[in-house]
Amino acid sequence: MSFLKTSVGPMLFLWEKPLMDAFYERVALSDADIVYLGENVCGKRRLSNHEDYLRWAQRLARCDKQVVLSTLALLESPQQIRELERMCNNDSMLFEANDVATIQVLSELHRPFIIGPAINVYNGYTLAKFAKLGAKRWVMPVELSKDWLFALKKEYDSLCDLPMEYEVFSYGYLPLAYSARCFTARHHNLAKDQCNLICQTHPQGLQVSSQDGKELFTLNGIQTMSGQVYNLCEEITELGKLADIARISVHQFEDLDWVDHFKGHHKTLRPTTHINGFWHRIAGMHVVD
Amino acid sequence: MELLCPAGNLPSLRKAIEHGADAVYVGLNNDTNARHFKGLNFSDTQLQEAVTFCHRHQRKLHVAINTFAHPNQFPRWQQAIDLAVDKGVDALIVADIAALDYLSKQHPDQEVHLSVQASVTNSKAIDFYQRQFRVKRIVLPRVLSVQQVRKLAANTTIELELFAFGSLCIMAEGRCYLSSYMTGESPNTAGVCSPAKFVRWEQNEQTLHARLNGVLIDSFSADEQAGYPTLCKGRFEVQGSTYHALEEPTSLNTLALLPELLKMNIASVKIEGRQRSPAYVAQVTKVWRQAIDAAKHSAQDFDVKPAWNETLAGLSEGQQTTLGAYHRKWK
Repeated sequence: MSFLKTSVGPMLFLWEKPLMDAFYERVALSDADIVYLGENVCGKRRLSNHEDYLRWAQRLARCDKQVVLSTLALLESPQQIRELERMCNNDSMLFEANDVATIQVLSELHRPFIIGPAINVYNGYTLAKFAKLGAKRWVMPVELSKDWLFALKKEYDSLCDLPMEYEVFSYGYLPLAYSARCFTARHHNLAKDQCNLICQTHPQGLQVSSQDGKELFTLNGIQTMSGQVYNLCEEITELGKLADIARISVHQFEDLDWVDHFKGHHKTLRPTTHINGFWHRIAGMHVVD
Repeated sequence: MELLCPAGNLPSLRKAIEHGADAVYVGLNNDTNARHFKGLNFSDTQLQEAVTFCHRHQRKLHVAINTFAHPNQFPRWQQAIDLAVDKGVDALIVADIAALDYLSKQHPDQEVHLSVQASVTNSKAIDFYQRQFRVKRIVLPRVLSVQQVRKLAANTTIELELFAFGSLCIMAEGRCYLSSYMTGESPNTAGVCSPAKFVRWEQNEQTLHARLNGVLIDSFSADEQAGYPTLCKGRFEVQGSTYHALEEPTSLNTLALLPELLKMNIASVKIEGRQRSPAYVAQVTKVWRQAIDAAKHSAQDFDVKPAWNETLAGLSEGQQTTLGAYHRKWK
């Protein structure tokens, strides 16, 4: 039996609203403990609006889920900053910061926050600094390993006695990079300014392969993701010792089945195409059996 | 506006100063900086020589200590910081909050610039670093358009430094794990991107294959110029078509933007390339010195001289240059 809690990460792909409605209904009925809502990748994506997220948040909260609003990783314009401030000011919800700007806004408001995986925390000193500003939970950058997590926690404990929860991205396509450029629009020969939200036609992203057929990346708008699904299902014992929460990042409804696995309800073997390199401190795309 | 040039060794530093750099940036020869390449960068004594040379010519020396400290290894970053401060360098370029915190407590008078690896793209993130650590300048990632830079410049008191020329990083720097995904080593954790030790060239009849840790990044026919397999600049297949899915092998060149950058009061234009040769540094510095002087003399009459662009294109990846994200259409 695992002591891990599970979270469903923010939806990283652009799904149409009816699909999102159905999805969060399924999430509400799942065993997940925590659900992250909100747009994390691209400020132009508006198929679901803030009211939709609040509606899902209420539904999920009624099913005893802790609901967290996740925020954009790349904030580039004054308008995006104003929207962020408005959101943080108006909602009493818990937020996940994916840019230091969000940490600044929330700490000015003396609000607790969660550090998302797109914030550069690589050592205990940095985590302690953020803890003093209100961080309650840290989602480790995806490129870091179990050894790194172990050492960082030890360093944090030696510097700071504020409580901290540790969350690890444990299942899904890994978010690896953010760009000014929209690679999905580029693939369709569209300018980013006239993208027509073309990424909604690729609800699981666009596969990029090498010329000799190896699946390398998944394009998701301005985000570049891993070509294969990262999966720590066979590392659950170590994960349970080092982390409090396993994050599941969904690209299809069936991925919710992994919630039960990470909760320890049943065991599933890692599919042969899935990867786990980062956890073992080797190239992320590789696998340790 | 300062012209800030790269140097991976003393000969490059001297060339930069001789050809008109106002300031030069360097790194120490260990993994505390994001260009941790074999045979590159400065030892203690070389750093001392660099400081002496720059100050004798009334120019400035910046030192990049811009990777992120590993847990329980902060003393290595701390030593690098103490060494640079002790040598009397003019500015430190730092990304890690652990390092910034240490500097603000132990060396509060040291001028600190926020490295591009900290990935700051907006006014609120600037507020954070300014208030917490009294950072004097930020180096902007190559993701903003000129319009966005202009808005930022108008709304902040912090000095802005922009990448003006050199290799084009197309991702928000400091938040890209593509290199560790493919090789296990990234700019944040090891100070490298697409490291050379993982590169393998295979000549196969008429085709040259470039691999990075076994992954085929690109294949070149006999009539094509083969480029270094930087993983985001390869030709890949997406839905049946093979193309540069992320970016072409091309360099950033912002000469044409100089009058605009002057108007925005940009503090410093930065030339990328600590890993490049002294001859490269000399040529690029010379062109940029002439261009900045011309733009300062009369921004209205400023024209990019064809000879400048020819020189820069000849030094560029794939002989191509682009305005990158500064130009909205690139996105």
